[in-house]
Amino acid sequence: MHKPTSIKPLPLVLAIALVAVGVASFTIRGHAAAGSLTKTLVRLDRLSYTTAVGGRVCAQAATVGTEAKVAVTFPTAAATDYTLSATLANWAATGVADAALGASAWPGLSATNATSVSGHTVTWAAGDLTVGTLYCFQFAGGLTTANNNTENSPGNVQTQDAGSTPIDTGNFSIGLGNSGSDQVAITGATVPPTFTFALSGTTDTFASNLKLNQWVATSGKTVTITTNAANGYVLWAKDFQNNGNIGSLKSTTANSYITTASAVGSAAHTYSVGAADYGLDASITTNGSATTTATAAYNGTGGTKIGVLDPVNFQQVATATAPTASDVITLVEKASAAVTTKAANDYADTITFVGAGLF
Amino acid sequence: MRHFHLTSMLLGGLLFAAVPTSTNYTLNNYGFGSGGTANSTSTNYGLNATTGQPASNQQTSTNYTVRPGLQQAQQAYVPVAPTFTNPSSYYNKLKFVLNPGASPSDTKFSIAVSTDNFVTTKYVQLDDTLGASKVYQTYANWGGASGQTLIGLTYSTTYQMKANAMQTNFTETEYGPAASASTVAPTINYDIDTSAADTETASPYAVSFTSLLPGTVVTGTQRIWLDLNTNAVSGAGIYIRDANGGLKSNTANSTITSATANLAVASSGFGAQGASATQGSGGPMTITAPYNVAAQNVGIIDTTIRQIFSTTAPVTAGRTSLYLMAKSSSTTKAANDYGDTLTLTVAGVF
Repeated sequence: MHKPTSIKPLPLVLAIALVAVGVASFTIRGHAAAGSLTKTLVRLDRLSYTTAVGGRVCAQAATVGTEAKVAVTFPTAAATDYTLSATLANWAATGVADAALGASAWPGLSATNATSVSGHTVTWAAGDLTVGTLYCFQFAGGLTTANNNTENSPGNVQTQDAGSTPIDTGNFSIGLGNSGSDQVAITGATVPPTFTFALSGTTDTFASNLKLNQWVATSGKTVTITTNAANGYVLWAKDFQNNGNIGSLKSTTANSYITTASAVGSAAHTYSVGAADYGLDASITTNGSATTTATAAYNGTGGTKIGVLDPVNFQQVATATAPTASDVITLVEKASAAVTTKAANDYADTITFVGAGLF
Repeated sequence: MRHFHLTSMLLGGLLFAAVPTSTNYTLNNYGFGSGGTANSTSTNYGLNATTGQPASNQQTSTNYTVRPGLQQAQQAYVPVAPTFTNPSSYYNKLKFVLNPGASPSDTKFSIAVSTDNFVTTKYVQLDDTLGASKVYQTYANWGGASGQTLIGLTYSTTYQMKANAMQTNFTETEYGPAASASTVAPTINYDIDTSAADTETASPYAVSFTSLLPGTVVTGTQRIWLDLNTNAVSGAGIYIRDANGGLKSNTANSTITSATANLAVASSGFGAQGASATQGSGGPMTITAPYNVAAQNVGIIDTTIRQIFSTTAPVTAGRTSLYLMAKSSSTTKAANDYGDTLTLTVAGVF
């Protein structure tokens, strides 16, 4: 088959009709001259229903042009639709790079308010884009999501020139969560309370016979404490041998006490020449929590002081105000004899140490 | 062709100025053919030719046109409707395959496309977009049996497509019957589930932990599962962030801080580990670094929105899951209200 009619003169009416068709076709083509974005992404910060959100917009230009604006038209939804704030400052936008998407920061946007909000469309003045490069920007807010995930029409991102002529357009869908919830709660995870307490030994022997002119110290024992108590812990001590409500060394064979002249609860004291004395020197060897201190009553202050032991009540020896992975407190007993102290080789005492966490 | 035809008509007018008539009949146009050769060749030349022609007025009806005249030695058939489909929920493109019939292999085709039954018409261009000008290519160049994909289309729109054929310069056919296909809307949807096993659950979604004993890596009792379906041409991402940058106890004012780490080594920590990524079709779904780890390794979850799963192509029935893992240290403050809020979002790359 071929087209013999092509050589015939056209009647005037037909010619006009063809011209009209040509004009119509031209108009449609002109509208379609704008291109399609190679990539379009709109990611809202939240995907729950009826929630005020900001979001990220990314687009990759396909058509060479001088972009000067970007307009985002959000989807329309059934029932309660997306709503857009009319306050331009609520839409402040900043170009951001996105490593996961391989995107560069959208040029010309730095806390830039929208220039217009009309219907579902927000427009910003923005910079020129390079074809083939994906760009992103983050808008701070301004959008309230719909109360359902049925989109009557998708959204679109459109780049425009300074005269608002479209350059590229790309559609997108939001995808609110099916149930309107986009969050997972982690609740009630429990870190159980822990407290460990360990003495390095239960017998502490004086290094030599007691002397008249100076303290003689035991070799010392340590107590190691670990706890996750939020408010730390307390280490207490209570003495066994009681001489006038003051903790003492006692010789059973001589029926004699070595007792300090200081009072229970007084600050740790230094050695007094010629006096019978007995007490506890507490020092912090390892301060795991950085909050652990020996109490004033037993702080040995570098081995120069001792505190009076209490046979009636537990007395605080050391405290911490935070959890500790491993506090080490060294406990040394010290004693001296007076010239009237009865001779015996069985002066002894028992001290009970107790710790507890402050959860 | 047109020039030759004009000449033929003029000659016919001169030779048969007086048409034959009788009482009952008038022969308006008539002629007779002459001899010819269908295919004559020599070493250097080939001839496909006939001379003379039958002739009559063009006759048309609603569906058919008869244009008697010179029959070409070889000419293309009017193409039947192309195979025009939307095979994968396309929203901006459609697939077409020409049906060339028995036309010679050097036959060229142009493809007309319309959204209004050809009240207005565009044509498929070399780059598979639509344009105003007819573009002729061979069947092979239009993709052959595999066809090609018409791009740059509008979502949720029905397109009609038809083709015509041209064999050499003077044998363009009419456009054949049309086929239609429709784009759909761009879509993306997802759903969260929290369960130890792969099952659907309703909101509110929650993950619990057994006791976080110091020094012990504990995995959340439930996994977080996510369904994803999208026809976004460049795929989609699933993103995660949290409210506290870790598990936080308000009563103890303490946080088990999240970090990308091996919890077997770290003294404490909290994070997510991608557990599975599957799909019904399309995709594939993949786990994004740093969540694509195993054993007791985790990726950070903080207030920054981070991609945890992705696909670079449309996906149907995408199904992913992740574990949450936590470890407290000996100094993590004891409390029974450690918690967090995770936000999981998706976005398609359309």
